[in-house]
Amino acid sequence: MAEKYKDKNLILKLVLWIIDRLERTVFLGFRFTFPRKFLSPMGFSGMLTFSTFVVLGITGAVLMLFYQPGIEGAFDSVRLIEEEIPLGFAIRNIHYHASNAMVFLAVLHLYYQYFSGRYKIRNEIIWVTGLILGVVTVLEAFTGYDLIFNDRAELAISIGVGLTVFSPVIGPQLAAFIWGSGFSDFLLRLYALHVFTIPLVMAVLMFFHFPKFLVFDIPLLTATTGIIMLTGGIFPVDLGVKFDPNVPPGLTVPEWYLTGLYAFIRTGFDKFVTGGLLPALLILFFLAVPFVDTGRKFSWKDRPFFTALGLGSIAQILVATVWGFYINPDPTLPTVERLLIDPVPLFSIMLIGLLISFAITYGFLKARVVFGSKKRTFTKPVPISLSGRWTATIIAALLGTQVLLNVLAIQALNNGLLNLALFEVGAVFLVFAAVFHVYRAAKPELPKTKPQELPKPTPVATKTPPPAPAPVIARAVETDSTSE
Amino acid sequence: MADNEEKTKSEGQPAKSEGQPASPPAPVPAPAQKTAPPAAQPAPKPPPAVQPRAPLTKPPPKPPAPGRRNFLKIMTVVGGILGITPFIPYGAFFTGGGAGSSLERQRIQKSDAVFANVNNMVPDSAAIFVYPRTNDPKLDAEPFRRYQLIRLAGAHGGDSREVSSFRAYSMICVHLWCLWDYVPGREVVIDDQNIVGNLECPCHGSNYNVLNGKAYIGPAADQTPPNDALASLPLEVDAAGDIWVTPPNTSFDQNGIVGIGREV
Repeated sequence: MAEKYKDKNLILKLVLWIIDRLERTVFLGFRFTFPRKFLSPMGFSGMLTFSTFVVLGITGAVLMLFYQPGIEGAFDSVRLIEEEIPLGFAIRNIHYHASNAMVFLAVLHLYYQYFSGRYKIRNEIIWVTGLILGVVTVLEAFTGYDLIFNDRAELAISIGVGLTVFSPVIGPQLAAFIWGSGFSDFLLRLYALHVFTIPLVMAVLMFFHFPKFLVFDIPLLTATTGIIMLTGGIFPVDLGVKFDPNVPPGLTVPEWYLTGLYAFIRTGFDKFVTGGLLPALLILFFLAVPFVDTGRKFSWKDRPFFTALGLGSIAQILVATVWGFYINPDPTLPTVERLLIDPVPLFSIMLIGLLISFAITYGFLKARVVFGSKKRTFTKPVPISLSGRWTATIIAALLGTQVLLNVLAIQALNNGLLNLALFEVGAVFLVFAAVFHVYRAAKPELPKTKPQELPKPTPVATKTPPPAPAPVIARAVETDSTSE
Repeated sequence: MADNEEKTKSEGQPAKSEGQPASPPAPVPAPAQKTAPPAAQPAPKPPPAVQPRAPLTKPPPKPPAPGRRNFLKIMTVVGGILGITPFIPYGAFFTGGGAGSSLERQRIQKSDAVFANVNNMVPDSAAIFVYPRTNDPKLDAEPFRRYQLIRLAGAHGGDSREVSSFRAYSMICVHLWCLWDYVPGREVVIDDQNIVGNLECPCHGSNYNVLNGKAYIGPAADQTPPNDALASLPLEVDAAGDIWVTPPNTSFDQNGIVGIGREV
């Protein structure tokens, strides 16, 4: 054992020692790639989604220290976190915006994989577990925003429980099983589901969803976190109105990922059809896709039918989501006139959206045939090559910006400008991402200090490893196309 | 086995101090190691290692005892099914049994802690109250125990001091369980009848007839009876003008079930 670690300094020895032992665990079954240049984040949007999951886990664990589930304590404890606990405002905002980011990134991830046909090549199980993960993610977000128990949360819980009760055959039994009886039960169970059961389910599903090759792009992961904080600074989440059982709530709209469903329910058709079956149709469509589209074509251009369906589903989601937000603002009108959505225009526009996407897709492909597509030649992008001195200057300037932003953030915090502080910390994260990127982009230019540390193959040199970073880039690109 | 892995991994190193003493007597790893040194990759080794075991995996053909074997299999399956069949209502844990509280005759206490009286309820107004009222703040905060006491508008005989001018409906909308609110003075037309005062749900716009608690427009109105009317409470007015709730009969043709409905 000792032989192996000779000629290494103490820290390297420790690292090697740990890595050797980690090989016995499942962890090193994943192959992490640290790209040496900018890659499109679409290729590893799953990893970005996972990073928001980690952010949510950390901030959530911290919020648990002060949150009290239950009818009496819930809202006041959230207000305590928001207004009294130092930095509670920041933690809560990061948690809230990370949840939005996670839902958004998951949807983005789904559509990227869909259009690039990644559900083929024996990825069916990854695809199915991914869809389940997506649904569970929305459920997790839903249980989360109910925990505040403001007016909106009360209505959301009512609707959630109501939808369960009125589902056919086993509805009442299922509702009693999941939710118990009464709001005391509901809130406690939402909490249990939110902090333990659903995250556990997600963690288990992730083992069946993650591919072996993962891109771990530190700048973009940092930037994602930074953008979450920036958003938290610009649009800080409010507490809403505390639910008072003696004051009936006013008109409220759910979170953006549920307004589509809200629009369906507001058409006035049967609640199980609009609140359960219609959204399930979308999920079922995606579930069925890999078993229907079994051709060997990957590109969206070669699968016009599925491309059109995908575009159509995006159009329909957009229409329903935007429509769900709209409530006639005239307070003198009866609520029914303000709320009820005429199903004819809603569903016909959704249908037209589908037709238009078919027309666009086939029209585009036809035009490519008629006019001939421009042959895309892959010219190697000209790398921005800076001298070592300039690189050092830029990095130093960025580090200076970081220090300045940190100082500003502390100042803002001391002056009670909590959202400005959050914004500036987010900016610090973004600048760090820039520093890291400049460093890795310029790295080939920097003088090499020592040869690369590769696991030495046997002396029979079938292929001598080429010198420096070129193969690493190649590997990064290659894994980009196979990962996630 | 662990030793075996370790060795194949670090076989380039000649001097190995550890791992040697344990291995010689073990029969299986030994052939694997003999074949190992010339090869660079550890991958193609398994076949020779498996070979000595091969005879063991092929047992000599035994006289089969199909009847007994099948019987055991069937019994195992039956046992498994019995094991997971809920003779005991395992799900009862999750339903929690429900907190029962006795339904008794109670004076109505409005949300401002004043007892409802004919004199402090003007026509065309409403007050929220809890039934059954307990001294447990958690139960009293429960939306499922909230009702609205409504005194009808004058046009519907609300000026009378009799019990006929009052209504008490559960606040839970029978569509998806949001809480409706009473809008005084709003004039609506239901079946060619002008009605003053309206019950409106803020979630999906179900509206109820104030006279009988039946939904007349919105999603709740399209639901099949009895799933289209609010649960109610029977009321009494005593000599002093105080308003009381008498224990309700929770069947559909009487006072109905909160959140589910009532036959009108």
